[in-house]
Amino acid sequence: MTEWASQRARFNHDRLKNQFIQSVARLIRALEGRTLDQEFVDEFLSRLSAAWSELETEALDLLDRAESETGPSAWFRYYPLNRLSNDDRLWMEALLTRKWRAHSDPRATVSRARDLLADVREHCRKLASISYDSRTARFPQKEANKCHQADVGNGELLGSAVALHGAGQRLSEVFHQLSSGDPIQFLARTDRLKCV
Amino acid sequence: MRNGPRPIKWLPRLLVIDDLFGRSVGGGPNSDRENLCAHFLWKDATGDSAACESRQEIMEPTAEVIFFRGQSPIEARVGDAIENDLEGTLVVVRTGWAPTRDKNQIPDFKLWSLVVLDLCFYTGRVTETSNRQSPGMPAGRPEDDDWRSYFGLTLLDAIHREFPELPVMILSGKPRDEVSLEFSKHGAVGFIPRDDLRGPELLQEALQLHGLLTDPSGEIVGESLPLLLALRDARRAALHRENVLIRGERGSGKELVARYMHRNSSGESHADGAPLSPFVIVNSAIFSRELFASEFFGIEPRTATGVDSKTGLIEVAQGGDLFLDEVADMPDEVQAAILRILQERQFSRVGGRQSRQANVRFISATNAAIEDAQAGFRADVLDRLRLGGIIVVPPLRQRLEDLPLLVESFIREAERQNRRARCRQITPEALDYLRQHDWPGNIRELRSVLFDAVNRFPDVEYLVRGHLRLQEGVNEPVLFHERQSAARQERVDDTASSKDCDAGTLNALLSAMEGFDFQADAIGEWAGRLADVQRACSRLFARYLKACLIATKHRSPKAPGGQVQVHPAVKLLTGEIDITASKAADMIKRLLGPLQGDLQGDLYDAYETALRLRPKSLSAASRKGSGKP
Repeated sequence: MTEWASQRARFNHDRLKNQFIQSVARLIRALEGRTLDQEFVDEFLSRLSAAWSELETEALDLLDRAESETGPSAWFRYYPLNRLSNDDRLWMEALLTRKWRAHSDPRATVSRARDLLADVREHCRKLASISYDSRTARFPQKEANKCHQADVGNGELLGSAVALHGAGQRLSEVFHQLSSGDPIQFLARTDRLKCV
Repeated sequence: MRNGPRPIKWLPRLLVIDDLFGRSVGGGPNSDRENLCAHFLWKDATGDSAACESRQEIMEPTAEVIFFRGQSPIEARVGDAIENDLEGTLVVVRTGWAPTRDKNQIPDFKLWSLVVLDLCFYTGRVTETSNRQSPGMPAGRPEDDDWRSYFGLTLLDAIHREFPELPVMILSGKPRDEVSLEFSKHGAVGFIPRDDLRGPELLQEALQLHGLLTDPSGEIVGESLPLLLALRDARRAALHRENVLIRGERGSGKELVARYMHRNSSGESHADGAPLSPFVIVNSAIFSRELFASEFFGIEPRTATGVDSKTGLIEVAQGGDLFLDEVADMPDEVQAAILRILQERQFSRVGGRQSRQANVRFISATNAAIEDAQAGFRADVLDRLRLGGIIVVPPLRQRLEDLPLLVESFIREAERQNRRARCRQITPEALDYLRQHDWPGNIRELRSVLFDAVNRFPDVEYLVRGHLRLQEGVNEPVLFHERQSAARQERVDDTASSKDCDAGTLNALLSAMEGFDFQADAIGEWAGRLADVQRACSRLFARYLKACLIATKHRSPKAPGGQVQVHPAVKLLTGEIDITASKAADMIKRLLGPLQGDLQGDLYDAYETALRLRPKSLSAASRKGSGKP
């Protein structure tokens, strides 16, 4: 596994799926009234923009390098294919690149990932905004910084949180598609497709 | 087996093995674990600092969960190395899976209902970066995230090998299509995507189908493995509308299991969750052919003869379940009459011509060896009655760890029914005394004993051994250790020349046999003695079986010397508690067949019983296997 692939896997599996999307799920449960978790809700909503911005930076960095780091061009930089003789490397890289292009379009996937990143950013913004509105509507003056979603705008907040969760899932799926695996996995997959 | 609602809601206990959620984080809460618990509505019962420091409250938890990292150390700082810990994890799994256990020693013991397992476990050193992103998590090695070497699959293999009955569900952030072949091949029962918002519902479905769960209604009391396996079979059978046969000794609670199955069937239900569809009980033995037709199918009204219409039991049970109790006692004519409805799901009222559709599931129950040709039950009817499976209700002696719960439940019930009775406790000695009994009458017998004790001694605070009358006319049961010493005595008397066997001797014998070799250069000394070797092996098997037969004899006033019981003896012999009676009979026939002319005493009795239970099956099977006509 290349370093980029490893970073992509950790980002998608750990930070996005296990941490960000799970914490949105936790918010949803609290807004549904199935948990009592006010401290978390307050903290999550107040830190949402900053937390997402940090994740987005990491995601963009991965996407910037995605095209060069996925597929045959990356495989031949790492063990075991970097041990091939020049002659073998020439024919094998040409063959794998041909097959790869026939089955993958990393540029389109990266572009879709960028769109989905913007989508998640928009949902985060919307959630923060509804949360702020509900606070000010309920506590127009000095208590405006306290969250009481259960009273005001709860339904809207919940809807927005569910939408953010969905957007996060879609982004995660696209990041998964960016996983080029290794040559053996790739060949096995293309052979399976051929059989089908 | 009956009692009122349980005072505390019983929650299924899950073991979650996952590196991220199982880790402890510097004495504070593990926010990743909190997120997961909120998402799946789990109560964190791990008891570590992460659980104690948690700030959230789950309103209606669906399960209580013990988290384990599957690695060591459980808590790590920058610079520490994290390694996967297979043996340590198996130790944790064993804590919720002791097949024989003493409730007094482990008062909080509860079986795992389900194990929830992650696939990818990160190992290596905890670095500044990895610790910043997820405190206590290592940077990971490339092979950790390779589907060919997932530690989760290694764990799955090991768990499945050691605990084949324990259901394991995969909970992963990995896409299902990427890993489905792998986890299915290794024995997991299913997969739940970690980020699916329907998580609690998906898990609930998995628990219903595969989990080891008690009866939440409290009608069936017990938490032992044999009982929970039977309840799981019942829930699985409840998912379809095929007929089901329930087997079990008298008094073991077959009707309650049938009711449980009915309650767990899908369909519309009352506000309390009880199904709207009917559950009709029929005692199969009471009908003559004539009475059967009118009671079962109903009567079409006839104006000319003045016969009134009558709704039959089939119509009463329409859309629900018809419970045929004591089905083995069903008269022959009735068996013939019932065949059409079982086969075509159609019937006509007596005196009527119109064919009606029967949407009824038959749940039959018996304690007899109904497959036995001598039982006289029609094979074609039997096949249709068990099309949807057979549920075996364990006898009380196989689930003695449920005794304290059952005793508590029956004492309270008896006290409620007897206005003079004081609230009491049972002494440990009295409970031990009950534990030593064989319980041939099972739960019903236990209930009678306790009701009898409460009614005869209403004005006491403690139930002591002297209050308990275990069998009519007998105040002293044959205790287990007495049975063992009797068995030992008989064995010594019978085979005076043989060696007394303990685990060490048996291991030595097995190892000598495994290592025994026939040297080709000494052929003259051993050639032509196959029959002798076979006979010696058969005699060894027979002695092994005999010891088990003696140890499991049922002693009663009528048979003070004890009566041979084939099924329990084979269970003891093989260690397989789920082996069926017919398989046990086949095994006896296989073991004793070569010696049949020489058999005496208990071995002769066992062989005869086995032949009675399975008169043909072995020979039929061997013919089939050999390809001979």
